[in-house]
Amino acid sequence: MKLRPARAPALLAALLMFPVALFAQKTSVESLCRLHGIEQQESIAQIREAYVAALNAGISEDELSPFVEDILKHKLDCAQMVRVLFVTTTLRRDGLPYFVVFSKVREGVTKEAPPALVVEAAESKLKTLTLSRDVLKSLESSGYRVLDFQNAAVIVSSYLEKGFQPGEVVSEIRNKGIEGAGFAALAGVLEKPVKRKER
Amino acid sequence: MTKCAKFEDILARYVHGGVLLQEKDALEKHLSVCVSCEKLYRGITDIDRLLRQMPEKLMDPPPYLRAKILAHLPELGMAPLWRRWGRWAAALGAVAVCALLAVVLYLGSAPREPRLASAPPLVRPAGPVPAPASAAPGPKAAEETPAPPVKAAPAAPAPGTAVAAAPKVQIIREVKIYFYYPPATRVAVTGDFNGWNPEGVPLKAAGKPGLWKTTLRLKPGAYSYNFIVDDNILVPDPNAPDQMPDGYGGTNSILLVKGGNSV
Repeated sequence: MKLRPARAPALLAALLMFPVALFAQKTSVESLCRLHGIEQQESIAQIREAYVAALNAGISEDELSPFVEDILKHKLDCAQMVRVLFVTTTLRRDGLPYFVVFSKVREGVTKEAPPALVVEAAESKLKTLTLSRDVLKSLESSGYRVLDFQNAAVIVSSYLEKGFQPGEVVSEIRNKGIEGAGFAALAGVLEKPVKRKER
Repeated sequence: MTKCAKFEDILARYVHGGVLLQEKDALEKHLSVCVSCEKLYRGITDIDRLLRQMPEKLMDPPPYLRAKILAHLPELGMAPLWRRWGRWAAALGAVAVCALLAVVLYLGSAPREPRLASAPPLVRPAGPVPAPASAAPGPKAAEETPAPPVKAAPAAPAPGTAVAAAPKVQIIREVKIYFYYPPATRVAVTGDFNGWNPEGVPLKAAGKPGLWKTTLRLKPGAYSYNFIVDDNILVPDPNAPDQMPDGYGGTNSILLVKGGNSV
């Protein structure tokens, strides 16, 4: 393959940057793990893999690194760490508000909850946020416009956690409107466009 | 290539004296025997002679001719030094920056002081949560501020813990938080709005003994929160209209900040 002269230096720089970035991540995660008592090379490798997957999904290192440090300090073991990171990565890949997990985990840290409960809470968030996405898509198909998807997903997930069923939320809003159904918090993030004949 | 065609090529150079000695001998021999080439030679030399006899500056070349010719010439010679090395210098610079970054990151990953978010966790009371609000004289935990468009948790169904994402239209509402608990010497509030910071947002004495208050500026959304009493006890807001299990064996109070058009 013949490269144009201008591309060769750029390619060289890119090739050199990749291992440098990888090295930086590797040392960062590895030293964090060792600092908090995770010594097994296999465990460190698993955490690093989950960490890199989260970065590749689009979560910035500025957000992720303090989060990982927090959960390491809270003594989550390797498998628990990987599960929490997996939840975060999945939410980010699905375009759902992954920062909810950060907050929920930090809540657990602040309340000194057992690590197992922290992981369960994070996974529960994934479940309800995924359901809330389905709710919002159903409402969109009914003509509602989601103005702020991330915030709407958070609020719908709150109603689901309260005990509402996804279908119930959809049908109540369809039949009674947002405020009429009692979902006032959704008023700013979801709207039903007014049809011409209704004006 | 025929023999004559070969000599035609030499002939052009021969007229202007640009042939080798061997070529010259061969051409002259050929011209002596080949009538057509000899005729061609005569024609060329005649034209050449006529051109030389013409006065100079008979006709000026058009002004664009020089530029046009130069534009079609292949690039000769070497590019300037800065141009030849500029790209490689940029690449090497990028590599140097990357190496520096790696060193900084490596040094930055060394053991650090504990971060604020990981400060010693607060302790939830082992027994039942103190019930300060049961004796509260009635200020609402979170209520709408008089002037600004602040509204907190009306009688909407209570959502669970949640974090408010940044809405595209940035509406910020002021929410006044009240808490009545006479035994407390210090009260703060923490929740989704501040990432469950263990220090929380401090409440100030509201004038009446035992009454604490603060004002939060929040985007519309659903927030779970707790009060921190005397720096080490987490309690839910007894006056919040919505409460929910927090998933950790405790209870969160829920604050709904409405969106909508009112600002």
